[in-house]
Amino acid sequence: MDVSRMDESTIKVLIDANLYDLGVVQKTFYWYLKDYAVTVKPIPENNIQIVLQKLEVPLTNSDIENLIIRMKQDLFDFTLRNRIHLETKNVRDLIIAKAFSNSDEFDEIPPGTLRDTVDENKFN
Amino acid sequence: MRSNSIKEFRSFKKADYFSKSTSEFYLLPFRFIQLSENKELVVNDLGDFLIVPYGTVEKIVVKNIDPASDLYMDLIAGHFISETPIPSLIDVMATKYRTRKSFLEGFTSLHIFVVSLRCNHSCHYCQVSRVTGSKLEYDISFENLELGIQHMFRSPSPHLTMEFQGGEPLLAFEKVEFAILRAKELNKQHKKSLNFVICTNSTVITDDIADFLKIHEILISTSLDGPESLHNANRPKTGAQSFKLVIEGINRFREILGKDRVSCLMTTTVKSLDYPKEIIDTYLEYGFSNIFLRPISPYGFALKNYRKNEYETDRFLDFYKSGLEYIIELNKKGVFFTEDFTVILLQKIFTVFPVGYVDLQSPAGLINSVIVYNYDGYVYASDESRMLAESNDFTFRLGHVRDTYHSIFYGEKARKITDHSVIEGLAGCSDCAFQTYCGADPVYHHAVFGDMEGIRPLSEFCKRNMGVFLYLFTLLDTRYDEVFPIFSSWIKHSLSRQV
Repeated sequence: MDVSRMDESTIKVLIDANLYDLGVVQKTFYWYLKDYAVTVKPIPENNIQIVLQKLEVPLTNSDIENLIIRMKQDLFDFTLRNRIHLETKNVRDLIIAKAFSNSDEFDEIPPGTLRDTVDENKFN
Repeated sequence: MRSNSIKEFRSFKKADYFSKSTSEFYLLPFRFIQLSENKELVVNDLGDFLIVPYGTVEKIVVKNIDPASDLYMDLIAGHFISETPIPSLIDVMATKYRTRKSFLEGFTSLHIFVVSLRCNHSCHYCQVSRVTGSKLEYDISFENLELGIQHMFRSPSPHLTMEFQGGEPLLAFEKVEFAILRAKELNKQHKKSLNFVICTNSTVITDDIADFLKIHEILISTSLDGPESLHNANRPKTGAQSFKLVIEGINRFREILGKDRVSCLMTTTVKSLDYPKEIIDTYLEYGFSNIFLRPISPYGFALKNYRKNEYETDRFLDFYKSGLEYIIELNKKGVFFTEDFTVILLQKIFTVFPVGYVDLQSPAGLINSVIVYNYDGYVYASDESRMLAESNDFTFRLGHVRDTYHSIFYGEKARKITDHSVIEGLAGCSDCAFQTYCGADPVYHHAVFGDMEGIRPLSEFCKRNMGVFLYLFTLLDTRYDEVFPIFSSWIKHSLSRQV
């Protein structure tokens, strides 16, 4: 992550798109809209450029230091969320399809047989 | 024919099965948020949650959880991970999900009839922009009332609640009387479970009204904003002090209908914010065992008098937390008293049963849970929708009672609203840990942002709900032994009333 100051209220952040998916970056910086005007765009050499312009007071160096810590943490969290989403979306679709199915089209016969376990032991 | 060998599944597994050392598992859908410096909260689509040490989510995602650990067992039991690609309990998971969304099955159950916009109060925060009591053109016509009642019975819901609102509905008592008698007559054919609620300021009650309420077992919802000085300041009434009349009205309603059939709502104004304890004490003093610490809504006169009513969500959250702390202390002393918003959230957190609170549903409760027949015959998607219309914003006007049921309830406008009311697909909400418990509220976001989805980082609705959720989960994390028995008793009490 490369952070540079553009003027007294604006910074530019460059992120390696090999490390962070564009969707992850967009979801991360959506939550910065309360305090910043945000622009996110892919740029050449597989980078993503984010421009953050603080809406009210000028951006201090201390603000920028805190912002870098926050950005790293948020990007990491949204990367985790993305990995969870990608790994689980099919199961989620299946749960919802089963939940809203009004017929038995998604029902499955559970594996095994239904028997009394005590009775079962007689066959040991 | 019986087999002589033990089947591997659906019987007790052998002991060595549980001592296996593999760490192979598969993720199931869940979301998370950092709860404190050392803790994070994970919540799945079914509402199951775990409070775990910070860093656990990363370990789950990279599959670095000791299979012999309690955490692993908790994650399996809570449907956060599975040992097979398709979890063996997937049908149970689907049933839990279906139960959470079962409010959709009955479709519209709450039918609000605004029988008059006239009112004898002049509250500055009035959300429906009442008119003075002499303007008879602001009463619903018998013809439109009849058409609205017929639409109500077209709803597939087996349970119908007919709620009368205003203005002050009892100023148009002949309309309320007609509607209840007509609904009862039609219900002989439809045979639905039918309840009646009148939302009244309790200051307009005659012997005739009292007799009618008693005969038809009507529920009363009234307004009490707190101690006398605060209530009277919030709810001015020409020529009289509202508080005294409201208390007299509440007592009379209780004599007629019984204590349990009279409930109160309060609205939190700027003036209220400094008096959470005093407001709760007033409710206790007059025999109530619950209160809804309810923020003001940005509609009607509340929007016109925005500066007068505006307050920071942080101040409301402080008010809510102070109030809840006081209520917890009361319960610890043996006084059973509940905070309604907390109970709604706790029921969503700890059970799979839908609560019926339209602001926190997905899809949103408008149309599919509630509909409003306004005094002028127009039909709106929710109570807040018609409040917005009084400010000349007709975005949520679905049609007129003269229109067909299909065009009102399933028309183009209804479909457009529904498109924006599913929290699972909204920016900011789709990844939120509290998604399972929260709602979309397209009317609020339209009122504030001019579009139904809004911008979650700027949304006070989002900030308030987030603040309350974080506070409740922090209480459960840090003061579990103290608060859980109290919260548990509230949930049981709430569920028993719903049964």
